[in-house]
Amino acid sequence: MDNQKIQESIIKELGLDTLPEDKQTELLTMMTESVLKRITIGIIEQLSEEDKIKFDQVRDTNDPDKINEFLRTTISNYDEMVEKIIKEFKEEMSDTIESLKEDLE
Amino acid sequence: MNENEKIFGSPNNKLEEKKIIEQSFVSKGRMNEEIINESKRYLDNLNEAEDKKEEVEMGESLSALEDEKKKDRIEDQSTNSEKIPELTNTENEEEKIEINNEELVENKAEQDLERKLATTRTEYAKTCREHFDKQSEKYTKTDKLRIKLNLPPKNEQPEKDSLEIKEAKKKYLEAIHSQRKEMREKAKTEIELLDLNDKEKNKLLEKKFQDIAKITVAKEAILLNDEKKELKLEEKEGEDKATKMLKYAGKVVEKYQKMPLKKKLAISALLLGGGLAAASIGGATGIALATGIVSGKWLQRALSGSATAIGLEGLMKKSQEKKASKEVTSELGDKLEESLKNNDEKLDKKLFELEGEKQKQKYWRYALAGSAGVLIGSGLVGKALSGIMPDEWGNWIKNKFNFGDKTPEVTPISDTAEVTPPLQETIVAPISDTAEVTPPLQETIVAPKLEAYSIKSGDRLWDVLKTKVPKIDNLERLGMKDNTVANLIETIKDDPEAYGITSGNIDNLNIGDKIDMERIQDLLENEEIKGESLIEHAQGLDKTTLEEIENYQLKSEITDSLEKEGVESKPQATQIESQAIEDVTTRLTNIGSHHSPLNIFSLGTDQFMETGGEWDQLRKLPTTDVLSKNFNYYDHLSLENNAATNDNIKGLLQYINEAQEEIKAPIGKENLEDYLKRYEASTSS
Repeated sequence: MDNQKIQESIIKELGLDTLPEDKQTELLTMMTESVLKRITIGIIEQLSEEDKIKFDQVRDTNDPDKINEFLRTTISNYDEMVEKIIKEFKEEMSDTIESLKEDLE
Repeated sequence: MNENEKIFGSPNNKLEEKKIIEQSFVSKGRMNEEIINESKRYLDNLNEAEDKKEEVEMGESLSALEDEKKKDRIEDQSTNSEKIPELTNTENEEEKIEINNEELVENKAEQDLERKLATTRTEYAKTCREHFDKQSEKYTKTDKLRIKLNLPPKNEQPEKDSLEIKEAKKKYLEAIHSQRKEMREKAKTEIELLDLNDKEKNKLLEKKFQDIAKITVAKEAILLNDEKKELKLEEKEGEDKATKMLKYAGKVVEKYQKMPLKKKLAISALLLGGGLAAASIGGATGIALATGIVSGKWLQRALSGSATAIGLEGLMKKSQEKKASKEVTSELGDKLEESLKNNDEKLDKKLFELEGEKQKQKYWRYALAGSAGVLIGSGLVGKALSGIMPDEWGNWIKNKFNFGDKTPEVTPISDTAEVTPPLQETIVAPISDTAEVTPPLQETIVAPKLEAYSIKSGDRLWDVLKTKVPKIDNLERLGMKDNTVANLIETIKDDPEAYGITSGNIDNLNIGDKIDMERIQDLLENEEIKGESLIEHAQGLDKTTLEEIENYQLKSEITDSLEKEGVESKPQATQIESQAIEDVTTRLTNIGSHHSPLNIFSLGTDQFMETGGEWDQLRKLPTTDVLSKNFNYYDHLSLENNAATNDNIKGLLQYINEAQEEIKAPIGKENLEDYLKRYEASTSS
């Protein structure tokens, strides 16, 4: 899947691909913000006080590989956790959009 | 001619007019209040018009903040102008304002709609959580437990369209409709101005209306779900902790918002693209987190450990600590900012010297309690922490995903749109550099000064605090006073010398010790328990807890008098006991109150702490009996069929197990309540 298709994916899934590009971008980034917020909270919830300090140190390196490695070794099933958050987000989005559409018609 | 003109005549120019009006304020004895107020409004209008003119002449653009203030002022004028139309209509400057007023009224209407939408959304989310989501989670948990116990699930579901939900939803949907209507009107006006024939205009309008419908629904779905998530987090973690976590997450989001569009979309694609392996998705988080939220030890600063920046800022805010702050600044001079940025140990050390470890931690608690935004927003720290976002991660993206700057296929969208406009409805307000909230520290500035109390023969710290600190002495119930004193002493004992106890031991006061009542008062106002000041915390204790504290105190007073007659004293045991009672009650309430799988202590239901509930029946029974009979104070049928009882007992058993690990077996026939109190006391002593 090329990059453009990747980023269009959720937009299509939610039926927003007919919107002007700037609106698509706005919604896509807004959704990403929401997901990032959830993932960050998910990470904080999983870290012990000691790990939070270590995490700070790793983040100081600004090296995504090191950060990912830390998260994967410190949080069990980290990738699955992130995937679950995203899956849940998408499901919630889809359900809420459907429900609001129905209510607003 | 209006009332002013009747009195003053028609002035030749505005300066003269202002002068006359200003003079009239001085000799206002001749006029009634209404005329004076009207004149003041008129004068304000004139000043405003002059300001406006100057701004236009100077070609200065107003900052967003100034614009806001201006809007407010002009809105006020708008109200005033309705009352004194003759005045405003006579001046050219006022006409300009009138035009601006129209725009501002339009903006205000939009803002009002947004506000209403946000309010109704929050209300709807809350109602859904309260009347559906939480119930639904509870039923699911009960069924899971029933299945574990080999009982058939009940498959209960709360009513989805309860009256409360219907009502909240109705308001919410009305607010969305109103906003959509406003957006449509605006679109219609814009399209009407286009040079198109009617058919083309209608087609365009139809498309625009469809877009509006989709956009509002999608945005609302994001925001509504965010609201619900936030509420769930608050239930799980408590308001304070949830706020801290959301603030931290808000920082990540804030940095994401500020990224160039290409990078934002790269992260969006990885997170939301779908069809990627989990590892790639997880990896994307690393990229987002590697954006240097604020660099340095932000998480540590925000959520745990000790660092200097906030403490120093807090210290500087305190009027009585001016001297200390001067000491810090003179010692570190120009390097202060750099030291803050680097979280320099020198600053930590200096703070420690000046304030003592406990005080330093206290500043941290302010920060954790939510004032970080204020402190950071106050300038110095914000300046030190901002603008440190490195770009290494950008290279990482380029290398890893070939998302280089010259890779056009990354985004189909124009490069000119580098920054997505901030979304007003974002739930988590990131810590803003311009945030203006009254910091709790400022309260100390207005607090009345208290003289130091000089210790006399026979004085006990407990009594001194209880009777010589007006805020404590004025508390209505004895239990509240004792609770406040107990909590105060818990803090004081960590650094007694800082409060004037020269021996360094709170149980050993020397005659002539000067107890720093100012600092005690400061503690009362700024020390927090679960986000409340010590006084607020005591005032919020329930009747049962207060009665238990009071009863215990009564017993202690009798013991004290016996001790004075020769029995060896165990000073300050009362504080520990008082705290223990509170801790047991809190823990038990937690076990029973939420019935939420998200709260580590909450396993049961409200009935647990009710009169006749499980706790009420078990509390006075010997602990050993309760354990040996395996809680068999209910018939088996009740235990098997009542999932709630099962959960309550499970929570209690967990609590008892903890106690056993810490204080071992119960003493003799020690009842369950006393046993748990002893456990809590052992952890706090």
